[in-house]
Parts: sequence; C-alpha cells; structure tokens
Amino acid sequence: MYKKRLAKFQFKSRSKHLRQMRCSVRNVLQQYGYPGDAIDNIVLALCEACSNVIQHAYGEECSKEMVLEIFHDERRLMFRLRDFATPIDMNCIKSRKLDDLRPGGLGVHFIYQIMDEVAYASCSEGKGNILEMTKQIVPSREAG
Amino acid sequence: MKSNVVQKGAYSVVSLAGEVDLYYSPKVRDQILKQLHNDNNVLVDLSAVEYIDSSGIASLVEGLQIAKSRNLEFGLVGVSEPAMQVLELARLDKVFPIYSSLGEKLDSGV
Repeated sequence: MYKKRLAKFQFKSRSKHLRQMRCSVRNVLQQYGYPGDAIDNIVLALCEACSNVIQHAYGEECSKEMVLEIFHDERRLMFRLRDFATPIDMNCIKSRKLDDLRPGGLGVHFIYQIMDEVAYASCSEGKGNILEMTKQIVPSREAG
Repeated sequence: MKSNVVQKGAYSVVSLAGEVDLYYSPKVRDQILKQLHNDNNVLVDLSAVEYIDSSGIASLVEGLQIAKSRNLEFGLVGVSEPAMQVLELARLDKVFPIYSSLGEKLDSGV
C-alpha cells in the first residue's frame, strides 16, 4: 500500500501536451528530492508510455483523456497511467529485439529498462487500460 | 524544438535543438529523409538536444537504413549527454557513426 499520492495530472491525448507532462512530472519529483539522473530516466519512461497510449490505444485521436498519478512510499515510486480506450490485448505489448535494427518498437524497451515493475490491467468497467510502473528509489534529499 | 539544415562540403547538416518527442519527430524525419532522397550525405548535429525519445531515435534509425540502401553517409555529431544516454539505453551508440564535433568529421575528410 502506498503512503501518499504526490500528484495527479489529467490531459488530452495530444502529442503536443507531452512536453507539459514531462515538465510537470519533473517538477514534482524534484520538489520531493529525487535525484536528477533518475528523474531523467523516469520522465523518458512515462513519456514513452503516454506516447504509446496516444499512438496505439487512441490511434492518434487527440481529444481523449489520459490520467497520470504518482504515488510513493519510503522506498519506491509508483506511476499509474489510465486511458479510456478500448481494452488492448496485453500480449501485443512487446519490446522488439534490439539487434533487429529498425525504426520503432523502442518505447516499451525503455519502459522495461527504466522501471523495476511494469503491470498492465484492463479497467473493471470494461473501458480503458491501466499501466502501473514501479521504480525502487528513495529521495536523495529532504523534500523542498 | 528548433531545427535547420545547412550544406557543409559534401554533407547536409541537420541541426536539432531542444526536445525531440512524438510531436516534433515527424518534422525531424521529413528533414532527414528529404536530404537522403536528394542523394545528400547527412550528418545530424545533436549537440543542442536536451531530450529525445524513441520516436526521435526511430527517425535516426530510419535515416541510417535509407542512407545505407542508397550508399550515402549518415552520422551523428556532437551528441549531447541526454541524447547519448538514450542511444546507450537503446544500445545504438555503437550502431551509428558518431563524431565528437562537426569540425572533427569535416576535417578528417573520411
């Protein structure tokens, strides 16, 4: 059970909003004292997850909702990304082999490389998907 | 993100600055592919890139593949630390020809 929710962001499925999402997440994690190099990687993983929702779950429809929540406890951060798209086949979400040199397919690899746990679920109401990503990490200083 | 293309000797130099993500990577892809389809050798200057994600990396991979298929040169110059970290994460840092600076590449004449 996570002690506290640090933030909740709700935004439309437009790629032009990704920059603001990155900025917001970065600000929250800096505020709570997490180390800068870890923040860079976490922001990359979250951006990849959001990009996948925009491109694949919503098929580039740009008026749909996405919700990103950040939770933490003493030793980990957990990120929950919720969309409201048709449930997707979780077996289709795969990282490509890195020696198979071709454009695309790297986003899932980045998520799995950066996060310690990745779990997908369909929403109980039957509409939407939830992606939970956990990172074992402690702040490097007191929250400012 | 900002980008521009200039001709330097035998190379079209595509310079990128700022954050390259899903919103901007189609523009990057178009600029790179346009040069390659005009049979220009391409160097992509990443020295001012603050952030790049998999969509931006995909544009670079596509450029490399098209260059190889057309017997053209394709390389990266002045790769910034944030961009290098992502290339390493994708294990592509040994796949692209990488030069420390535009001057190093142009002066080498290779």
